[in-house]
Amino acid sequence: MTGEISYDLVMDADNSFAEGSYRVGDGPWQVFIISKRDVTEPMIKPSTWDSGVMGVVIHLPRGTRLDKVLVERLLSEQLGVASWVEVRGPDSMSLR
Amino acid sequence: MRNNIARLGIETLERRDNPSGWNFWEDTYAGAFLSGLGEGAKNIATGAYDTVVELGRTGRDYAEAALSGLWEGADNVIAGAYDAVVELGRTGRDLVTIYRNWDGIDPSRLESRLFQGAVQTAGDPRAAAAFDFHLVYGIVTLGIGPLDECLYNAVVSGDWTQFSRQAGGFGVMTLVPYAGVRGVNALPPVPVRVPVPQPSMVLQTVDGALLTLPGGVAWETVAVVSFALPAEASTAITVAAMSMTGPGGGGDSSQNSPSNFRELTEQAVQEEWALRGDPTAEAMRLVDLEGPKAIANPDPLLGPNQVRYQARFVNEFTGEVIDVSVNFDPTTGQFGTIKQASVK
Repeated sequence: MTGEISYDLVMDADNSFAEGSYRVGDGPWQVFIISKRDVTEPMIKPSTWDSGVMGVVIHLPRGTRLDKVLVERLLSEQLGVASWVEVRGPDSMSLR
Repeated sequence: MRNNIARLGIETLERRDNPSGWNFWEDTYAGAFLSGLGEGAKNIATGAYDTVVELGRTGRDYAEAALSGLWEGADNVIAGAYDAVVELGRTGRDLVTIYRNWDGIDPSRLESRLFQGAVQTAGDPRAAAAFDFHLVYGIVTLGIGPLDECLYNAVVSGDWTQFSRQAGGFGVMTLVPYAGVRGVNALPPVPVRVPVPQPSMVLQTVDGALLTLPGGVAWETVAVVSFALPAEASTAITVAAMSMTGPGGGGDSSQNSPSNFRELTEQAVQEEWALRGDPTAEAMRLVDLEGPKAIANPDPLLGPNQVRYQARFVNEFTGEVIDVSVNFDPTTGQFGTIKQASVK
């Protein structure tokens, strides 16, 4: 199964945070929010925002290098997606 | 949508003489590039540099680091704190000199330390092959006074038609805050690439950048704006508008007005929550602020330089911890879309 992913932000080698949207197959666009927090391992929480849009909130240990590779790996593990195609999808702010 | 930026006056860039005697402004160098763009800082500094300009070989090879600060990309050089460094490399001279006349810098202190960190810069053939620029620097005083934080931004205008003469030519502006005391500068420069040469185009900083200083201390805050221009250009450049938040920039520091960007953000989020009908909006307290990050998917409410912050709030009434995404345009000082990032 493949997915499409769209980053709200310019992704560097190590972002302090990341936000964006994704969809799996022909499913609806969903939201991902990734932050660095005082946690010891990645914590992934399926979430639903006020607008009704669904997605995931991910907290990473502060020392984690946050780049596209990690984002897509974490989402793949959570969602069972084998590969991602980066596209220009909706901004997560407009979905939330 | 609010404009929280205190506009400052127009000041023309002031050229500074190089104390070593050569005319910095008239020479033409090959291989000049601003390392704010990346690779140029190799072999220059383990210490702290905000802006490094490395020039390739034209009989006089220079590497220059302007204003100390954190420069993560530099390595292999003796650590030290230099406010401004010009290095001659690859000509057998390996001369390092400095600009002595930067406002607020003690020349004797600079000189005494400068050469300890003499740099062995080999130059970068990629740079030498690519660029042929004049370098122009200017210093603009942003403000004097107590300053905890400021968000600075510059809009610079000039006749940029000369850029079109040179294939691949570009202009770069870096804006480096200088707080009057060496070592305080801790921000990366703000580079700008001129995408399409146009007459009289306005060159703007990509991001505003947040300058945080020890609270309650009076600093003279100076921004250094630097440009790389094609060698044949004779462009007059003016800082058309320069702005910053915070009382140091002449902003309103009365009790009812936010005095720094964190307070501005807190107030903007409180207002957004109030607009949504949350009766506890005023209990929202900002506890953490990450960013800015450049936005790839633009907010239509804001201009091209927009950035996003991720802010963590605690609602002191409910005890709830709330993460919030905040779009902001440092050029205009306007907040854009503000949405909750976390969910219950």
